[in-house]
Amino acid sequence: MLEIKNVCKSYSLSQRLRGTPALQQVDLMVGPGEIVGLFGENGAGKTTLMKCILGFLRYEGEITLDGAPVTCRNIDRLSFATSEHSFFPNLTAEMHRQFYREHFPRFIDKRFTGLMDFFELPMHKALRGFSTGQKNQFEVILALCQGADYILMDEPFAGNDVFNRGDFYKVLLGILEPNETILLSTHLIEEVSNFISRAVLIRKGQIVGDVTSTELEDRGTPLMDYIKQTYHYSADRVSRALDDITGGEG
Amino acid sequence: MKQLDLTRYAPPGTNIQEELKRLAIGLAGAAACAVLIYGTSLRSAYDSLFDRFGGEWVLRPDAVMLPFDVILGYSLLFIYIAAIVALASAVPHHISYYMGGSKSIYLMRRLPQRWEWFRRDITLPVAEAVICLLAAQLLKLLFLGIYYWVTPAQCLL
Repeated sequence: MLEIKNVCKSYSLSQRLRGTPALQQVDLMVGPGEIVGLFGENGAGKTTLMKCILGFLRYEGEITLDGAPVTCRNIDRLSFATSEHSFFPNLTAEMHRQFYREHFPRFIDKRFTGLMDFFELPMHKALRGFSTGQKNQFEVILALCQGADYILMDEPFAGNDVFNRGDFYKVLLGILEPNETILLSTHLIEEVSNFISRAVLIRKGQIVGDVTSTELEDRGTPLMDYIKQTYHYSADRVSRALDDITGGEG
Repeated sequence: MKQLDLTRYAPPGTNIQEELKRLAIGLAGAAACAVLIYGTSLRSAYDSLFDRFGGEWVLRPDAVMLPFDVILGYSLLFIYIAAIVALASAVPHHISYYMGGSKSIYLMRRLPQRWEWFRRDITLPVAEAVICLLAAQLLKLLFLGIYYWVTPAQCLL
């Protein structure tokens, strides 16, 4: 169980003084086997939350993995795929495999080979020579093959075409073990709505919505509608803005 | 004999050959400066032991060679500078390497081996600095040997 209790994070003193921290009193519990979509506008705090979980940022509050704080003793239970990429651009895929094998004893070699073959990625070409889509694919492959229990993904498919992303969702659902948990931050809400088991909404550093897919199904509410309701999204916002700009000529 | 794999002591994917080449060039330049400075100083001290009569150099009976440390002076300074430069430039270069082209720093900070990142950042620069310091001591020994070899025995204190 990944438990986030009362986590607050401010990047600067002014954020703290103005009362607009990047994260404020975030409470979240993510259990084994969940596929959680983390949604929110740019700057809502999704990436900050992930970086706090991984220990990249100092924060106030408590983040634990099965009751223990995240340290070098259990950090290998977390993996991370980011649109910024965390691989070594000068190394080949094969060299990455060796590096991961050496540092992560639970590295899943069979899954790595299978995914590399499926996405037809070259094993012996330096990563800097990959296309953006291929880099994203490789980043996610590494996160999936590390052998982690909790796989954090921050906008992993930015730059991939729609077919590619679709393939990935299918493959993910096919290969994940029941105990593997995914926390996926993305703006591609409709695309992942059939893939996730739970949606967490974050706004201005606060959790403003938390719902399971089953609850949404029972209510008969599509994920996108739930998000719009939670954000108080006004459907006629665009037409009103256009009217204001054009003076109602349309 | 098992060959030392230097790639295990540097950030993954860094050009170690290039780094070693830079060290070799820097060290060779610093050693050349040391030889030049020491050679000039030794030559000057050696010449002062003699008087010239007509066209001939004659050793003065009361001539005393300057102590080795005085002649050595600051001739090894450039090698010490090379050691400092190796540390001061290579460590930041290694650290910034993890932010270039990707954020591999995220991976390094997630490694279960807490010191791996630190180890890969500092091992080569420290080794380079140690090589420079060892080279300085070797040169000092060589200069000392030359000092005793060229100085007439009666001029040694």
